[in-house]
Amino acid sequence: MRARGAAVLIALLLLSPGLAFAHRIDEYLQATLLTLEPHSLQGSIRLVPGVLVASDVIASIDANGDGVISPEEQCAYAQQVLNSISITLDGRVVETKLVSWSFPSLGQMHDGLGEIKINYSAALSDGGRDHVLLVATHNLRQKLVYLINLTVPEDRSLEILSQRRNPEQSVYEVDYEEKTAAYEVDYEEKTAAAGAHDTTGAVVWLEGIQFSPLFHLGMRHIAEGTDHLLFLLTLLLPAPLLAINHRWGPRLAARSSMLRILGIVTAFTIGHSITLTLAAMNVIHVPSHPIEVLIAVSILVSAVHALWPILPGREAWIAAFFGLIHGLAFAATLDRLGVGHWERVAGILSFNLGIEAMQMIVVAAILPSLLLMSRTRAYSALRIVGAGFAAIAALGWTLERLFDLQLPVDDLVNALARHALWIATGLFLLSLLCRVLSPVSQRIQRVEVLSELSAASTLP
Amino acid sequence: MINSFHRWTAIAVLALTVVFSGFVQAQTTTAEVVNAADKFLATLSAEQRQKVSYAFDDEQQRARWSNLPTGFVPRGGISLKQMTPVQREAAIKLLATVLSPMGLQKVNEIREADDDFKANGSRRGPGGPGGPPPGGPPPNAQGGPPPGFGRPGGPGGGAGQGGRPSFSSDEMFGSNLYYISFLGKPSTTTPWILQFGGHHLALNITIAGSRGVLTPTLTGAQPATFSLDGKTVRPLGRESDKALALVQSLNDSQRKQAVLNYQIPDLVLGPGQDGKKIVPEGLKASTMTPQQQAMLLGIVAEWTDILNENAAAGRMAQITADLKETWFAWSGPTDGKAGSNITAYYRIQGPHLVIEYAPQHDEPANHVHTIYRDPTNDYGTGLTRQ
Repeated sequence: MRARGAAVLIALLLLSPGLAFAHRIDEYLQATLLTLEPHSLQGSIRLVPGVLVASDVIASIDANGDGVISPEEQCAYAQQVLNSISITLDGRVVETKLVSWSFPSLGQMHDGLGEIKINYSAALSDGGRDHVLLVATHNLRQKLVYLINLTVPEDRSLEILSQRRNPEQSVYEVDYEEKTAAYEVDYEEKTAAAGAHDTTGAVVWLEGIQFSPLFHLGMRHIAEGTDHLLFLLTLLLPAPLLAINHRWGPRLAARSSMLRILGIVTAFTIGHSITLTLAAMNVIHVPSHPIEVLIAVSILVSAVHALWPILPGREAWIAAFFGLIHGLAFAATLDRLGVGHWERVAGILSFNLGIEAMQMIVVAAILPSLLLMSRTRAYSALRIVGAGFAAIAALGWTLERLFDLQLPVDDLVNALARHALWIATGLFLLSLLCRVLSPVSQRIQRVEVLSELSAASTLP
Repeated sequence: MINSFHRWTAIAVLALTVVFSGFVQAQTTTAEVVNAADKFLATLSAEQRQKVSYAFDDEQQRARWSNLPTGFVPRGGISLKQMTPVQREAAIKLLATVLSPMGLQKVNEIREADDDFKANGSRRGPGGPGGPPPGGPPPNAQGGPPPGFGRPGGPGGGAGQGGRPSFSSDEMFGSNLYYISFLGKPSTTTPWILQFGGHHLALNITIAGSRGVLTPTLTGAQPATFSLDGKTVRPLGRESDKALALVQSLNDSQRKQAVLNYQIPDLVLGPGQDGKKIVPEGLKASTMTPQQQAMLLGIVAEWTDILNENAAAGRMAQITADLKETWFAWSGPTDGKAGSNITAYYRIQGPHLVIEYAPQHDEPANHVHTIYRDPTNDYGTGLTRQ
């Protein structure tokens, strides 16, 4: 009789396309409730196929087409749904596990009333206080509409800071804080030092601006992907200088320095755009683990280069080469979001523009300080300290990523990155001070001709 | 001596009367409701009475409500259609006692909308209203059950043991296809639940002593605007108009917080989602002007005031006390004007409150589902646990 009900319903729909009542017609609703605990995540999904897509959905479930949904087919479909969801915590992929599932009768499904229920769980690695959890759902065969929400955590040590979604709710991101006793002191210090702790940081002051989600994500990615930024900044450190006899020597003219910095940034962009596009179009595919290691190595190379010119005048080429590698990492981020093929070209563009915009902001914030300070002796101190820091962080990351270790590198770098705005401001004030205090004779010292030549040779 | 004794007795009686008058007053309403319920039950045959009575803690019956037509999701109890005129009159009298006049009107308009739907179908269809939906077997329709999909082995889900009605429009829609049921025995002291619902309506009223709890309750309508006897009827019109007025009263920065950047295709905490709390979003009422806060409470009153005045008053006091922790979120267009239904979704959420207004995608301005919950007190669990 249910089958008859469905048939009547379909007849009604055909006779009067607008005639419909109370339940889904041509959509496949996927409603998710997430439950967050300190070290685990539970997801409970309700899938409700509308009456017009029900047959198609049933066909996807009944793989062998025998008209019966066997327990094996149920399990396989639940796994298929789970595979369409990718979850990352702080940028790292989180493995999900099926917990339970239930399927309505075929009759209910034909009527557009059936609810498939799937529960999954995921272990979340501990460590750290601030977390970003991202849940992205790829389309199944049918057109899905989404609901995704987080239940209020029962554990009081978890505090939800903010939630973000794309307009379809297929991509969901939540920032949360895990307040354990060990982090409490740390937190007090941070808030004391930074004022309201979530109003600082390069990311947050841009958050008010509403962009396309992928543009936004691109910006966040470069802003939060401290390894990408550290690479670029380290490479910029010796840019205003001229290498003489395997040592960093006198500074270049301001114009040459600017050109060189622009060259480096452009080369990095070209490099990562190429691989990002290729990877996103599925032309190339490289596993993400070695890429992460290579990125750490790239920082190490640029740090060593900032200490001793190993590749003098070829910064742009280094930037372009490692840009190719960083692009592959960006592609992995884009991939995790489950952006559909047809959306990809537009997606790459806005994601890339987001990366560019954030890069430009960072460079614009640092550039004046570099140029000012490079005219003083204090610059070698800055260069050595900066490069030393980058080298240590890069070594740490390399070890972490090679041997799967847990070192406090992320915490250290993120702690600094959180105060990026203050550091940039401080650096600028410091460079002003150095400039004022430095002797006039030193200021006029120039190597104009050499520098122009060398700048010209570095442009890609 | 005797005189003074009488005087003291008189004073004591007076004092006691004053002390208990508030109590007595509240009790009177519950007593009236119980009285009306008993009168209705007395009109039923033994078989009918058994059919409408469930155990107070019958979880299955508690959750047996839906936005869907009763032909698809059979409700417990008996429908107005199955009653004699005398029984029907007693049932309506019971509703009139437990609900406020506004609440009764809303319920009646939702039922009338179902009559209109039965008579006219959806008005969006080509060529205007197309008569009652046919009930006969379908033509060889595309998307119909593929061969080999005869229904295997009996009804699943235990829904329709009493025989699932066939799907003629007469048995699918109409103002008489609304069901009444009781969980527990009507009483002024021990808790019981009165359920009344059908297509687009599910009232779950828990009565515990002097207190009444209306959560969870679902209201909805399709058509959400129709004309009856020359008058335009919008069963959930004020829910739409008041919320629109609030969102339009917000300044730019408030609006930026209240209006979410994503689509919400349906109720998040609809039927079956009892007791769940989601992380609230949108604009916090603490950042609203007093006038906007009053507007917000005015929207909430469209749900709380469905219940009679005495039961509703305590509820509004609780929600007002929670105001600082109450959120207002909106998804969809903010333009539009009072008198025509919004096509946007909105949610009002506080520590003891969830209200969702969800236009349905087939006919957004003319088909709406709403839910009203207290995640801490669905079916009065918060009261009865104490």
